Amino acid sequence: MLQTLTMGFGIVFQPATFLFILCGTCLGVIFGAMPGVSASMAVALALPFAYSMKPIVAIAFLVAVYCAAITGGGITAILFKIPGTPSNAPTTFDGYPMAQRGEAGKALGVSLIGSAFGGLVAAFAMALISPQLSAVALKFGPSELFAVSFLGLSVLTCLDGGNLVKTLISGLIGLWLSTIGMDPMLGLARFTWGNNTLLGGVEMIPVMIGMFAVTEVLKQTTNPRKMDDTDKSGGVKTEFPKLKEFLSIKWVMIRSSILGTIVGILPGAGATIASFLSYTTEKKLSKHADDFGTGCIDGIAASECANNAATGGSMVPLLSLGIPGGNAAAIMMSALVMMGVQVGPLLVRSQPEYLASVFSSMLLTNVLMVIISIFVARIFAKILSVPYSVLGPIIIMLAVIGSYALNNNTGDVVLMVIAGVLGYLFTKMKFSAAALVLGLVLGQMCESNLRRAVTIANGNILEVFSKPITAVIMVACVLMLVGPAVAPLIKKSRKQDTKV
Amino acid sequence: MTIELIFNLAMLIFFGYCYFYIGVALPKSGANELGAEQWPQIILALLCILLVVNLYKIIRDLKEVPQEKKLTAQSLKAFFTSKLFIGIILVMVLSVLLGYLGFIPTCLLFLMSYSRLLGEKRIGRSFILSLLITALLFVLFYLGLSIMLPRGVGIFREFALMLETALTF
Repeated sequence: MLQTLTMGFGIVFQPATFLFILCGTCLGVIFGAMPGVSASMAVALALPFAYSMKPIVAIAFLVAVYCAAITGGGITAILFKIPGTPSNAPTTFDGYPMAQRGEAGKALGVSLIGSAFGGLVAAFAMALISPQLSAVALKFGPSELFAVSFLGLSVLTCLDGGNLVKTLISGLIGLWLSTIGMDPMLGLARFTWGNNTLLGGVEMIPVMIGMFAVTEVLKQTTNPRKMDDTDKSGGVKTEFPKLKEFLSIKWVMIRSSILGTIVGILPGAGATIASFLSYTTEKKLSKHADDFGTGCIDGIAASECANNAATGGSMVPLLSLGIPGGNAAAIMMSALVMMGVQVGPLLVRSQPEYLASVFSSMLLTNVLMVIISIFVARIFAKILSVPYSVLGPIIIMLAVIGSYALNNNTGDVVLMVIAGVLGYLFTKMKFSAAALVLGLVLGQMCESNLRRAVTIANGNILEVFSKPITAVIMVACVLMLVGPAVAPLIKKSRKQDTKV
Repeated sequence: MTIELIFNLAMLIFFGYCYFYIGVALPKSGANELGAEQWPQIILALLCILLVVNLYKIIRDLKEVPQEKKLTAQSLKAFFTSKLFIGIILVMVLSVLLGYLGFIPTCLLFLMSYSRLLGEKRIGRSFILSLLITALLFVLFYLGLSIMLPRGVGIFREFALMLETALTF
């Protein structure tokens, strides 16, 4: 470990490499804060710069872009309710309400500290137990991956406990939306009604942007509210949490970082699932669950720790097995392959400098991005002092660009607008937009893994759920699903017992 | 409440139709697999059950809704002249026009019209601001990040191509 650290610092503290990492962090934070530029797109945009670098420097640079992009996405999620990357969506649940009540600076501070903490935990996990973690991840077949994605769905019940039926309906609508288009196993068209545009399915990003950003502008159109945290120069001062506040969220950060790292390692999962899963798990475990969604620092810390930890997690299978854990890791792998590096199980053993370079770059980036994000947040926050008659239309145009940039398709813009209008109706009728998005995010992973598992088990459903890891996770799912319904009954019976 | 009732009823009819549609539209799957139609059918069946539960709740609560909150011709008229309805129409028009006019003209028109809706009365100031914001967004995303923006069709496409060529060199 110490040897890896020394070797890594030897690489990243060379003036040229340090400068590249610094530039990569700046680029990552800015790209991440742009709506529609996902973390993997940020890495892809930075790729041309990496071609001129040595492979070891290039991977350090791309890792810096990747980590910083996830953090940058939190800035716009908090300030404008536009998640910069899909994994920042849960940050809007508490970050934006805090910004509305004049605590944008504090929300940004918690987001940055959470991101750095999650990133650092994942970096250490990667350096310390990379091969072991990969071995565990390899034990996750389709049935186990289904159980993990179902675990993500089972926390639906705690997204809005007050309207359980409506939250479940919203989640199921999200799941149904994920079935539109080509079926993931056989390629059969479902719910397309002969329309070729629908064959590609319902994209997650336009729905997310529409449901969060456009809905908010429509709400503000009828009932405008002002944000109070702008200083005289028209910016927002990032406030780091006080020691007492930091200590109050320490377990949230530790749990979310571990969960994020594990989910990041799993192939096909990634930062978005990690942040949703972590947010809902923390809500479930919290003593003040009712505060979640109203502007609570625990929610921001849970989401930001987990999504940044997932970035480190996704590097584990890449470095130790040569399997990319997500889209961004796949782009990095292709860059390395193009440079002639043979990525595979032998990479860490024969060329340990790659692991050292990634590890040190992650450590350095997570420190640098806190400083850089403060400045980027100040620039973005200047926009908050702009009157809403100008800011509202700008937010919609950013949402339009974000949706269009995905596939260069105006159909995605139409989808985003429909999602925005539906999102408004959902809010008015107390359905849950967050649950719908969660269903859409997890839907395909859930379906494809369950179907694969059933096929492997030759149609025997019992065999699918009797595998040890699957069984344990499914028991946890049942407890989470039944918990909200049973908890009040248990409380009631206890009260009656004490009376007797 | 009445709107909620109609919305839920419409969803129930639509998702009920989808349940039967997918069963008919796709080939029957084998006994040793979970077919392409079965997963959506599980979701849709659960969805329909929950929608029925929700509809029951709505109908039960409908009796207790005060008169002023009930849907009337007057409240409907007020909605169709509200800022919200105009806002929704503007956003929808934006999404449709984008493909025909391209990014620059649509952005300019949308920024001006939506800021007017949000209370900006000075047309000259609104035009200059909208022009500047459009230029800024175009430079930032097209030139800075190489993200393609809609070009439109016909004359608008030629205009966009001319601008892109002029700015690239």
